[in-house]
Amino acid sequence: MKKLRVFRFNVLFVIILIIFNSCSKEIIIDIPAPEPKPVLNCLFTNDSVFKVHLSKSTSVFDEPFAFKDGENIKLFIKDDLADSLVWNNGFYWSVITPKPNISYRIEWEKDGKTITSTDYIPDKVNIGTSFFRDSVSVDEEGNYISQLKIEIRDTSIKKNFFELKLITMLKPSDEFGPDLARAWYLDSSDPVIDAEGLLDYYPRSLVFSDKLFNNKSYVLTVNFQSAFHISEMYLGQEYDLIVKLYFISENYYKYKKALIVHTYNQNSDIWDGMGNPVPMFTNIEGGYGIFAGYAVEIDTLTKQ
Amino acid sequence: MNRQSFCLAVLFFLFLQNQAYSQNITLSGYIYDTSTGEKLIGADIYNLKTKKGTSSNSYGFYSLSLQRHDSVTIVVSYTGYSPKKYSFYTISGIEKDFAMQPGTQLDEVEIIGSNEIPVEQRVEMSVITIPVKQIQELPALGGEPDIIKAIQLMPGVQSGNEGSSALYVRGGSPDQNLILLDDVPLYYVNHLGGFVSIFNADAINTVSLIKGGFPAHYGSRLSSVLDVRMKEGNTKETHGGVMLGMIAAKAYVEGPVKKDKVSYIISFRRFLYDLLTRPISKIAFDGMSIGYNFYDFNAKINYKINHKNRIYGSFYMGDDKVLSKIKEKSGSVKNISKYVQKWGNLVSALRWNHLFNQKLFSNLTLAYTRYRFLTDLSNTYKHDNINEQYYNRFVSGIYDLSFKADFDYIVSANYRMKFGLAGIYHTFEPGTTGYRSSGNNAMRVDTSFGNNYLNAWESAVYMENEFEIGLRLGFNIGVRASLYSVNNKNFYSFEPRVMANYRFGKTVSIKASYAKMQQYVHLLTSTGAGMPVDLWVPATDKTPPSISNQWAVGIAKSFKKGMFEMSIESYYKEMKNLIAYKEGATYLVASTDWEDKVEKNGLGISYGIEFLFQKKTGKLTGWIGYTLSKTTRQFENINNGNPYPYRYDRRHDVSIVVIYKLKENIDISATWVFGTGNAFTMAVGKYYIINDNYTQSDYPGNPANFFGYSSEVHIYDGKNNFRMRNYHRLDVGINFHKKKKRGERTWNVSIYNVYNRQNPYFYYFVTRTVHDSQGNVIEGTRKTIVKQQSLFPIIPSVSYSFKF
Repeated sequence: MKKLRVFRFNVLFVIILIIFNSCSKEIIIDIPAPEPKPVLNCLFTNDSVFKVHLSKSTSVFDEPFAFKDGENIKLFIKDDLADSLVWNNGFYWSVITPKPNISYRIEWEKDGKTITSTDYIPDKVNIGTSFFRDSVSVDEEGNYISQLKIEIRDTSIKKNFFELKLITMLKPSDEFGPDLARAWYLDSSDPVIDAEGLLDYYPRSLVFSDKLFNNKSYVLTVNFQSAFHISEMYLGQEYDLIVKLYFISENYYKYKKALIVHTYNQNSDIWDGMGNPVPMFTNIEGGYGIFAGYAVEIDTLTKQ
Repeated sequence: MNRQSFCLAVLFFLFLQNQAYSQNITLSGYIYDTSTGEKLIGADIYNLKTKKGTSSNSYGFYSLSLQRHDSVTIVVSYTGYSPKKYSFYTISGIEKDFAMQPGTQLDEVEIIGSNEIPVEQRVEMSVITIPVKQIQELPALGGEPDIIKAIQLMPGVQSGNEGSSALYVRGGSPDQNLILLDDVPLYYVNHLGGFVSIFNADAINTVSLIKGGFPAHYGSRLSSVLDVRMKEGNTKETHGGVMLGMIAAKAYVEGPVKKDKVSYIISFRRFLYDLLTRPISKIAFDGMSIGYNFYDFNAKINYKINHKNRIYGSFYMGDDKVLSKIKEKSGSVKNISKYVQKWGNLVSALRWNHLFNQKLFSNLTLAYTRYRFLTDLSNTYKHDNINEQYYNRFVSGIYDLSFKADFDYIVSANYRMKFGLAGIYHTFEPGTTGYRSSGNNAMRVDTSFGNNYLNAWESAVYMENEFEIGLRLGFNIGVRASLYSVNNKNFYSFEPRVMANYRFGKTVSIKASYAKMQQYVHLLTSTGAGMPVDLWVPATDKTPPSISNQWAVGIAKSFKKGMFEMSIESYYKEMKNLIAYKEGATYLVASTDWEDKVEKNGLGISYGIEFLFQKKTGKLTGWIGYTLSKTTRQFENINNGNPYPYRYDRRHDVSIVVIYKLKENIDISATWVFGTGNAFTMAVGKYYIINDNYTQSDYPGNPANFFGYSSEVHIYDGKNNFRMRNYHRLDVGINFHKKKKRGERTWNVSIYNVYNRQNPYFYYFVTRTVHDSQGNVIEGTRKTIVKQQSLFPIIPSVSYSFKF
């Protein structure tokens, strides 16, 4: 692959930025601290035990507090106790390994209150043929764009939710050893991806639902780039594509969508002023955080 | 309509007819500047005997009814000009043009009261007019006089962010302002990311802003009308001027093509700094040329065919442009890349004034407006036998083809009627992207995609009646009906407009108004100081037209024969069907359809009291303005459906403007503004979340749950739940004029933000840590603080201008 000479300069007021960059100062602002709430985080899948992180929300000026040993945290299947979690090295761990399609309830007794949440690992959906091509197009800055096509055979009428992560893996050569670089996702004109409206937030993964192809087969088209497309030092190097397709619960889906937008909007800058804050999704009753299940399918593709 | 209503309507009509024909003769003509031939808009002509008068319209035409067989004395006046008094006996209709001499000598007439129709006599309310000459005397950022920044100093009008040329009128957003340049709507009025408006004061004749009580001949925006009229060009002799300031350089020339028959004016303004940055960047960045500039070009020609017919052609073009270009040549390899981002307006209008008779005046306008935002990127690569080209373009815009017919019918001294119709054919281009690549070694691509063109048709008819009942009561009652067609869907609007003015005592009046407005276009824009990507989109089924209802009451009084004017107005405005970005949505290029990015059916409420005290004549002029107001927005999916403060909700807003003529050749000015801090959303708490860094768990061989918990998310307890610190700033300026052999030169020295107040632009969190010698964070040393970013410190500026 030969790479076009690339440059990007998308600046409006460089001079103003330089001159006025110093116009910032620390200020004292009275921000009343909200009442601290327990925070429980756990994303679970069927090839690992439950790994739960417990902490407490704080004021914006303080550091969130992570709980260590001594918390009372249990897992239930329906109303039956399935496991009591044990603290080790910063996390609470289960003995049992979750199984698909079983609803797990987690309970945390804290200060006389019960913090609880319920979720499950969804079934995997059949994946058909998938392949990727290098250099199907060029972007507005002259960089080549690669494209993945992946067939999802959705044979059930129930709602399905997905997360897709692409990782480019450099093939070893005389110059380079094996290396990984995450992909970033470009406008694909794929309605399923566009309908989620997340591409403007530079997501690290693509989250989508089967709303537009429920109970049908669908070939998803994803345009992407990685550092191996952009950096001149990798010109002409070959790479494979690791495709990780997550089959996620609805709670996971809502959490991830909110997280992508929330994280993007946490920042303020001279160009866009204040961010446009977005409340974070949680499915933890009595607290914050997430308790959600997923399954994953991993494949490594060589370009066609 | 029932029988009773019908009878009332007939009686009312008969009353108006009686009012119309009880008078006998008409005095009509044009009022103009004697030295330049420029028509004077809004000049007053006043019958001293009946204490009734009228004003010249947007083309300098007036018409006044007088009692037949009567000795009358009229005064013609205009701010900055010597008033004139004429006495005569009325026998039959008279066509008379009045030539006004610039200056303030009062030797030709003993002024009975003000030299303009006093505020309490005028039916209009919520109208701001600032003479362009006065605007040029005010201190200016970078020495560049700015019409919009002067308007921002009036009560009820806010600027939004620091230094911005946006107008937030009575709680409305900038897209709710109808900005007219010679009767043609403009869609984008800023340069330099909003710090400079597109209006070059050298080419502007008059400017007025209507905040409420909209007459029926205006429509299609919710919150205000900014009516800017270009100069027509000197019909007597050629004049011109140049100015060099710290932001831009500009020049204009005007003069007759045929004396008293055909005249023209041409003006040009350009930002200068790219002339420096481009060569410097070429050296600094290895052949890459980088620059930003803006320009404005205005031209107008006016042709007086005869006393009854005039034709005007006006043209405006202005763009902001970011450019970077690189040329590389190494051996047989040649590479040229160019990146251009450009946005701006193009406006052209052709107008025909026709005087049917002394009472009926018409204006026909044909116009074309284009607002366009585009990004071009091209690359050419040549190496031995390889020759590759690549081209990419993103375009978004709105293109209007419009016509308008307006009629002024002066029925009598007490009754004036305006009626007309208008049509606009809109073409919206919300955003299309095109790719093209070719060459003997490249993949051939030639494609475009994005949101498609959308056409819409907007038409309106209106009628307004300005009349007086007795000596004390005046009305302007009108109605505007409009139709908007898009995607085979029609939207209708019926907009009543009512203004009333009751005078009691000699110098006091009470005013009240109601206006319904409907808007058929929406603006999606970035909110910061960054790339001003403005996407204009039409009202559709999903995002129906916005509607506002505004009620206002006020009291107006003049003192000391019009030397002082005071007005107090209170208003209540509700805005329906507003749109806003979904929480967290970004503005940029259409990766999803724009209709899916916005919240719809929003409600805006704004109410407040405005106080304005002006000194209009004398060595010391200026005003004090104060606004107490509250503005909220409410959307179903924002802030849990609860109302929240609008970002530019400003409880208190004060402006003090002073212009003092120290000597004949020196004038000094100062402005001081104060405003409650902008509302903004700030996190109140935070908690840990699963680390989303795309690393550990993605490495082959690592378990799926190999993730950490160091990421944090924020807790918010409401939208716009905090206030920034109050904003205040003092600017001063001084002008030194000197007559030279061939003209007059002016040095202007301005200081922006004299006491260097660091006003807040935005707030952000910073987390600081202390590291040990190995670079590790020492536990317990993380500290989060809030920082304030400001934009403009004290900025002195100098400009030089010369007029001949």
